[in-house]
Amino acid sequence: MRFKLSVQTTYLLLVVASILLVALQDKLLIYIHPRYIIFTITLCALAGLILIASLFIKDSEGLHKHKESKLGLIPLMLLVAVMIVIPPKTLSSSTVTQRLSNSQSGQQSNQVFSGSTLGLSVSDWFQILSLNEEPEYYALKPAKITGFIYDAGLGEDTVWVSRFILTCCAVDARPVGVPVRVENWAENYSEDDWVIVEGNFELSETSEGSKIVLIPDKIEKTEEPENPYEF
Amino acid sequence: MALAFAKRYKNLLFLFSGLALLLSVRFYLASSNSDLPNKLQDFITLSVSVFVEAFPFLVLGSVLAALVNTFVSPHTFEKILPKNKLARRASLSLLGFLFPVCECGNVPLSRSLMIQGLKPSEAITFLLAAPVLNPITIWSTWVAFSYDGSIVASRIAATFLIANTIGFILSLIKNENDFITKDFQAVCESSLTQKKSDKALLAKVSSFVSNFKHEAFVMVKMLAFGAIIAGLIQTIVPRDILINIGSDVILSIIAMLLLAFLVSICATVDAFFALSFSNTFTAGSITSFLVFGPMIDIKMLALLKPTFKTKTLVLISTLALLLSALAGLVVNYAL
Repeated sequence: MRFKLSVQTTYLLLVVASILLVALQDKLLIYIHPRYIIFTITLCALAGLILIASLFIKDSEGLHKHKESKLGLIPLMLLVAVMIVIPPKTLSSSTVTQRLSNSQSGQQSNQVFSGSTLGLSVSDWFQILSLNEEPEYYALKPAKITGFIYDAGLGEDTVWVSRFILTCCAVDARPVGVPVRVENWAENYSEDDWVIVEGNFELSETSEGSKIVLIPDKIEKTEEPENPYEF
Repeated sequence: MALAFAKRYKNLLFLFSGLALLLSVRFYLASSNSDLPNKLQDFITLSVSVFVEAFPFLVLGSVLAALVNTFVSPHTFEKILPKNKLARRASLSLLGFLFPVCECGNVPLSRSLMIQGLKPSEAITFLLAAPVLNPITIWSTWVAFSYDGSIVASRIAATFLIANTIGFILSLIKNENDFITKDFQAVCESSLTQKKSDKALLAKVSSFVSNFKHEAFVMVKMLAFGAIIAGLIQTIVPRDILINIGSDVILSIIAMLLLAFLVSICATVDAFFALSFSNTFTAGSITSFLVFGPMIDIKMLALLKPTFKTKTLVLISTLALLLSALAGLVVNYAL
């Protein structure tokens, strides 16, 4: 049986393999919204099947004969190499800083409480805090949140517990965060450490003045969750 | 013997040795437990994110393009088009809905349209509109900008209007043959005397596979380049500069038009690239990018050069640039 692996097929197979490799590790979530995962895997598999079939089919003669530049391949080679070599990793505090000024303009709505407030996420509390500045509002509304530490410039005793919200893929990730009072936080935590915090919101002094801040009853370090983003 | 084997299977050896090398570097890095600097790691995550999100759309676009190129005869278009010139160009600009081929695939398709006897102004209308006015591009734009339907709507409306306006302006010039190169004129004339036989099924399958690979390969190179640029701009360019340019009504449009021309990313997936600017750049500048990019960029000019004379390309590019900027201004001021 005839067998031919062209340059085009080689590179396309490498791309398919590198994306499927990420999917096999269950890490596509780092890059794209969960609703596109099946679509992505299906289309990659389809491409893989056509490419493997093409190994045994004779190419059409005279089709697309023009010479391709080798230089144009460099970005593709780099990207494929990086996808295979570097383990997928969530966006860090560095991107929070890069994007922070835009996240305030995100969609906001009045949060309707139904049941316990312990189930509310970082983004829920981010919205609530931007809408309600009265300390009384937060009485009997305990919070339990998981996020990573981000230094939002609120002084040495207050830090942000942050998450990214994803709409489509990591490119549109918007950072949100809840201010948490942790005395001399830098002594025990570094930026990007993941923590679980349980506590209540109260008025507290920060380097930016008096703010509603989460006062923890309990705070502990934790592993990065399997799905690090909120949606 | 071994040398002959290596020569024959050099790509296969490259594939497996490349994979083995990359995987071993990965395991070495994992065992050394060293973290990359945050900025570099985020640059990688953002670039790969654009690439992974867009790749399935690229595959879908390439499969459909290959199906059209292989199984649909150019005569089909001639049969279904109306005779009235305006209606004819309007229909041609919507042809992408029936044959969703990306801009690279549209160039051979538009050549075959002209070989079949369509005027250059009509083929150009199709060429400018079809990359955007087709289900795949509209779907991917919707996926990227689902939170803001006005971007999708303005992309569709502006592309339709601009393609038809340019087609109309070109149709006012009497000798349309003056738009195309001498070489292509010769191709058109000689093809009239040729007869084409129907290909056997196996030849069609082979043609489908070759078309798919060619389309996907051309696009994936551009996509990788675009993904890296998007990641770089997001991580390297200081936030203040991005916000200052991006929030200026005029500057943002100029910057995005320039980016569209340079980055040359395919229409099927360019929405994911544009998405990375949606937080900082005006909606009008995003619209200008999404309208102008699929019509004219470095890659398209290179692809069009063998068919159209330089002066034609300058004329089309200038008109597309000005009208796309106008579309951006309308979105920024009126919507």
